[in-house]
Amino acid sequence: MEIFTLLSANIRRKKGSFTSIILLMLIISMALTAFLSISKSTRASIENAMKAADAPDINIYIMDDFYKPETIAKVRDHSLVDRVEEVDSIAVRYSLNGTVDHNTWILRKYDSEKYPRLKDDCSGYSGSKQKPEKGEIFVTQGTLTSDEIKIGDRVKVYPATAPYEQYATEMTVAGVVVEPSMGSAMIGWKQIFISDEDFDRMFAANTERSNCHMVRVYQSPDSTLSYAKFQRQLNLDTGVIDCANGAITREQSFHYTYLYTEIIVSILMVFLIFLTVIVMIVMNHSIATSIEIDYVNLGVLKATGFSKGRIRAVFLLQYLLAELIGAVVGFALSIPLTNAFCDVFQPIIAIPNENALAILPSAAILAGILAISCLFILLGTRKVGQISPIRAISGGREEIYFDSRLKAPIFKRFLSASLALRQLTSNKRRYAGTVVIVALLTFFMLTITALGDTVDSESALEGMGMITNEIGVLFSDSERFDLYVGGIEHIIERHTPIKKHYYYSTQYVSLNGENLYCMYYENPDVLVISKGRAPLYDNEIVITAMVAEELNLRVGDKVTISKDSKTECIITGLFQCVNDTGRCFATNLDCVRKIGIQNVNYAAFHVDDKSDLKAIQREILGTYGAYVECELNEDGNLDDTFTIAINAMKAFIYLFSIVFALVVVVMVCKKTFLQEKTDIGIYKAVGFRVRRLRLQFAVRFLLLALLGAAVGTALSLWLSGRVLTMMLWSIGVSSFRVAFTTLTIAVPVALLCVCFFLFAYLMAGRVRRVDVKELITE
Amino acid sequence: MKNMKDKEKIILSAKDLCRSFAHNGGQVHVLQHIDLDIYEGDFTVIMGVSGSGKSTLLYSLSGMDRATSGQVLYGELDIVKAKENRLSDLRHTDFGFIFQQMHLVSNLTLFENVAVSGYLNKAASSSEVKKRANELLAKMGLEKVKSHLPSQVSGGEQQRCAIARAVVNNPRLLFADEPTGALNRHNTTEVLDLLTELNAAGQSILMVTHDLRAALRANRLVYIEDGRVIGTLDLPPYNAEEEHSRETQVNAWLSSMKW
Repeated sequence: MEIFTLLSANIRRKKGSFTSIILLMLIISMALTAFLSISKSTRASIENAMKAADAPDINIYIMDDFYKPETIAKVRDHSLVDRVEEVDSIAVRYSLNGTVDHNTWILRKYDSEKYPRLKDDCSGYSGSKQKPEKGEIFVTQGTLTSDEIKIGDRVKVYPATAPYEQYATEMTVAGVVVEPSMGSAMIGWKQIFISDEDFDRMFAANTERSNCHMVRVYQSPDSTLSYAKFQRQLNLDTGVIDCANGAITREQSFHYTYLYTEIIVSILMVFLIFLTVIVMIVMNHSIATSIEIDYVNLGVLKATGFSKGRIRAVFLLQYLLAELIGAVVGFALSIPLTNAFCDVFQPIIAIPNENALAILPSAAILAGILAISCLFILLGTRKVGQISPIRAISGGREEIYFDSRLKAPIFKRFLSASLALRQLTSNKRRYAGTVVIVALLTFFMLTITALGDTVDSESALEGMGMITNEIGVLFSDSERFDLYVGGIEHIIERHTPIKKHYYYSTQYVSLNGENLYCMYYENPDVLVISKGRAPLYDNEIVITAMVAEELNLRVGDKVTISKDSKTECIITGLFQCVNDTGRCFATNLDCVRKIGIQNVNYAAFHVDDKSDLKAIQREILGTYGAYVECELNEDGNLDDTFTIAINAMKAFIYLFSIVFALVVVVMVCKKTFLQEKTDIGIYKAVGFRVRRLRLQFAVRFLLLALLGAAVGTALSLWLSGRVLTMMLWSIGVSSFRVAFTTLTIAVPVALLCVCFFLFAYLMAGRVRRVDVKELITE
Repeated sequence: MKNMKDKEKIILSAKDLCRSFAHNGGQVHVLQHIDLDIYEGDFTVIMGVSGSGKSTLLYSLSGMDRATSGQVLYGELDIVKAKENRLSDLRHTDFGFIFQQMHLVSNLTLFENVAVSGYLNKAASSSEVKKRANELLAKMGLEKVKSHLPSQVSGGEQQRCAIARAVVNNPRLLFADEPTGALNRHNTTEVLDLLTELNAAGQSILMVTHDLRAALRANRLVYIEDGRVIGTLDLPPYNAEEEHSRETQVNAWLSSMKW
């Protein structure tokens, strides 16, 4: 009972600390539960939609020209295969506002049972079973997002093999459906649903041989192979993937659909771990100073028979109670936050979210955090054992509250600053926690800023092997490439010098039976190699670190690549590529000619002057429009979606860093203020003005922030690249090159320092309340 | 009477000074209609029993506390109504203050405690302040320990440092609140000798004490009871050789005040 009396008295008296801990824990609990719930909801939504759509274990699409019934028969008869479904489809390209998109749409008939309709605003399932009418198409929400189209838009579709105006069919976007295998905005191919009438007409016409077969393969329930191994084995035994234009396993569909959420949630989770560490540091500091300030009371309690265990129990209960309240309130607040985040992710995932709260995992992790904080509290309250009742009763706490006799000099000219520095140097231990906190916040702010800056930096992206280009020219057939590419270069050079050109194509090619995205270059020397050298000869390839890890390959190993035929190659190096989340390899044109691929059909140009791009495009299309498509990349290097996501994360991390800075400053200032009340009184008594004392207080926190920021910057320069590589490995980044600029570092550092200074200055307004009379001994 | 003949030497003047505190829903009148003049060059001591209001009077006169009503005139300035910043300036230009508990800043050395106050004086350069601080510390016998922190020296040394700090800006008036209250006999004598020496050199001092030995150093005694001045006694300047007769005279006076 006496413990609870003390507990309630302590809470009443230390409402500020109590509220701060509640607030910090609330943020952690809210964010943790929301992030775990988003993850759980997204996964559950994808799984359920896949079940509802009877998604196959491998989706293979094969153009008519490559389709071999005997190969499909082999697949059907394979021991690992349960069943095979074939769906007639038409591969098309499409254009919006006159620009033909590179991605492929696979048109097919609509099945309302497998692919349920969404409301037009995508806010949930509509329940409608209505099929598309003639001239209408149903698309996934991911298509709306990635192609920036909306219901009612008119879209032109062309045969995938010949996307020219004479073959165009205009259709209207009339509905949104859920198609979980390729419906996400993260996947380039899309299944698009049209009316039975349109489909039958187009399929019968088979314009420019654009019909294709969607082969849906289901693994036998007896098979224990992973999806990837199943696909590999099936290809080795039947060659079905070698003849396919594309294949995607259920696991890959899931991975790509979930990828966006996964990256953002994992980055935010790491940030959350940092925040948790900060909360522990703040709590430890709060306990240490509480003991110091309450020395007399604690001594009196001991003198009246309270054991140190009981006193420590009061501390433990006090902080745990604050944490528990914060955790519970945060848990409740996570519901609207989860819904809000899920709404943000839905346009990418293209599946309505289940909004499932991750109650158990969140509760388990929060319990873990509470358990760790118990340890922190118990460690922090060890000093209670050292309190001497005699000293407490006879005079209270020690007059000397500082822990170091290091004397930074005091100057008349910089009196406030030098006194602030003295406070720091003579209280190193007290401020060490604050420095660590600022360092962690700086590190994270710099890391996320670096991520944002890197995706905007040409040199950084090029350094990571990404192709930076402003003009892309796709040739209708590879034979025309050699004929026209020189003329196109000439047109560009009349407007601006070409800094770099890339002549390449991409196709899925098997590597040791594994279906991988292959990029083959006429000029392979443009590849950025992280280890080894570029593939210059006709039996050489380079692979990504992900492929090396997945297939257990090393530089120097021999591999077999296959398409129409097979050839043996040697791995000459590692390169970085984010296509297909790193599941790719690259080689030269001579090498792929050995497996039946004839030529490259794409030319990308990185030019010096970007002001004349539209004129260049007009000129290229005016001269070669019958044989080429020309697209411009004027706005930057990455998709808007990524930029928005990175900016959103940046905003989130900046906002919470500032909130944490505020809470930390408030807590540390309050305690410091209590400890230094007498000193403040003395300074006032000898003639220091309130403004000068406030400035002195704020300068101290500015110095702390500068010190912490320096540590954080050093950490960031050392570790940010590694941390980002770890976080972005899943999208194919095996070596993140951080593009730090002076501004990258200066902005977050300045923001944190200014916040610390301002918050401390505001908190130091309490100086006004210190009355010199308090120095009077009656 | 002194206040009649040396009117031009008044440096601080309290007129109808009252100070009340709210207590248990009512008001406690600690100072009641006090009229008191403090003269330049005097060593004035305020005496009274515990709770008589002597410290409150000192703090009201020095501007450390604000009186409830009345005036404390320092030249043209009414300290009761002066703005906080003006009072801050006054504390490092015209007034000096010594506390019973010394109140040195614990993480500054003795030298720095003195110099920091001096640095606030815009008229003095940094080197002048340092020179003055060194001189004062030497005068106070603290030269050897000037680089020590307050916790590393004795109570007497701390109080001597506090005196040096209080006079570093050559204040017109030095306030002292029971400066020997926390000291042993030996240190008390040291501190009183220093104050006497300062006064002899022209420093005006206003001190609160209930220590008879300290009171003997004054040339003017003010007795306060229940917040009112009930008597004053003018004495010749202190002379150690006449201490015994002085003690007899003061004792008699204090007895008449029912001390």
